[in-house]
Amino acid sequence: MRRIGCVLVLVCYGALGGTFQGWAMAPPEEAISIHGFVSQGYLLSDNNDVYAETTQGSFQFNEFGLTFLVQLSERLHTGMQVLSRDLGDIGNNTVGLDWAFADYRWKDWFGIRGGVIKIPWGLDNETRDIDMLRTSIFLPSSLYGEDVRDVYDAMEGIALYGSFPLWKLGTLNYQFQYGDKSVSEDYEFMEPWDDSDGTQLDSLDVLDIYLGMLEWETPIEGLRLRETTGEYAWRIRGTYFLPAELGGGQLPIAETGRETFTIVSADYTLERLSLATEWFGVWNAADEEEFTEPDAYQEGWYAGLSYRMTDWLEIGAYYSEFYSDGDDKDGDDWVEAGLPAYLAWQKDLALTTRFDLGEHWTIKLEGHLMDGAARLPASIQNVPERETALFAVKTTFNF
Amino acid sequence: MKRKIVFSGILLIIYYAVLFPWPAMAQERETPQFVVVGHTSVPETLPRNEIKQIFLGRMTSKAGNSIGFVIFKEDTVYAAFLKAYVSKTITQYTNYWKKQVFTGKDRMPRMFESTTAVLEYVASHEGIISFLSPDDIIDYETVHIITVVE
Repeated sequence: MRRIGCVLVLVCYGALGGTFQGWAMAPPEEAISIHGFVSQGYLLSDNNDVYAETTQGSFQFNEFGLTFLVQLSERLHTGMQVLSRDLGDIGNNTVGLDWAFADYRWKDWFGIRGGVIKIPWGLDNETRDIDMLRTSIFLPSSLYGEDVRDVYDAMEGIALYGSFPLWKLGTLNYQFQYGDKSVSEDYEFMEPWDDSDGTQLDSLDVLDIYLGMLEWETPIEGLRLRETTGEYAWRIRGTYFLPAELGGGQLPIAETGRETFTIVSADYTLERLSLATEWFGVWNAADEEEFTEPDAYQEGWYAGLSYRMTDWLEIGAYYSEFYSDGDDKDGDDWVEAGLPAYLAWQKDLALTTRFDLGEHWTIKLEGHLMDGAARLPASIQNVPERETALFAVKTTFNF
Repeated sequence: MKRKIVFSGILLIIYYAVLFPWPAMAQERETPQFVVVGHTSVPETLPRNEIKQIFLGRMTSKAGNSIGFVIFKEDTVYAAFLKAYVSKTITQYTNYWKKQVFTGKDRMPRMFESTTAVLEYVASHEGIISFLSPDDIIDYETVHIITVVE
């Protein structure tokens, strides 16, 4: 109720012509620029709960962010963004640091930033929490699953970046990153493993992360190609509580592994029309120290489009496929384990209508038809249904 | 699942047919003219690709000198300039810069709503370029028209 009230206050303030530093105004020569956004949504689904208790309808769906940028000199700036989000049990409006870094741009072709930096996991990961920057409410779950958001959102480390003009061959942009991160037991990624069968997970450390991103703005106007690849080690710590019939007591959990990934992206913009497609693969190996023979493989892709019909109306659609095991797309291993095959995949068709009520306010309506449950929590005791229809509505105010 | 998709598709066709702005799309608009202007410290000719990189914030120096830009926010001239040199609509361009802001990579560009404000800023800041309607050009000693070359 407080969050809804907050949104209503900001809507009224904006409608009354509040004195926010609007995007249209010439900003003063201030030392600090401040921007932000507030989003509130509603979710309703039929067969399965999606992120929240959506079969009952849920307002546990919002984001609030504040961004501070300080230009210290012509080539040096610093900034931070604090973010609060809620999506069912994810986030629960805990205010945290989304990113914070110092950035020195020595030349157009070479800059360095250090601190908490966003990971360029696909075209949209760096801005995934900012609803008004895209057509759809939810990004394709194949690449941008909410269950793994906290693993791939940002790292503590350094990034080298730059842009090279290639004359008649377009422009080449690059970014190289190195760092690590810790994910606490509160994060959604841990939930399927946590509190089941006496297991308590305490932490997930993602270490020795290094990735490279190359982006080519081709000579074909509006066509951009990108590849991101990288590798990291992961380590899970926790405790397994033995059942009484086995004598009780505790055993430590210490799982490790190493993953490598590749994401290939392409998008094309022609005036009001935008097309995008991405494919990714993640390979996991048991050895933390060195990536050797992979023992698990995830794969996914999506294709989408959006069209700006008028200044106030935009429509979009995408189709997405995700496979929790790219070597078992038909789900044979799940069937052998006594579970339905559709747990191996999640296919999602989404349609969105976006209304822009001025420069600061958007409203979106979105429908999803999902086949499969690879991104939904599943266990022997709780097997989700195969098909899910999800309706989402969301409003965002930004300044 | 397939019946749901077909039924939903039919509903959506009807929905968008009602929303589609048929009268607005039927109107033909005359493309407004514009010129690129800059401080006299900026070269008199600039390649088209460099204009794009400057207005996307990717090119901030040329021949060792800083270069930047300001926006003239009159919608018809603004839209025409973006279409010609940046290949974006106003919405796409605004969203591009919002992405830069909300990822901490850059600040919003300076925008002015009057010709006079644009010219005064360009005249008083070395290395700055912008764009204006050719009918609104006023002589400033430190402002010249920039010729865009391929």
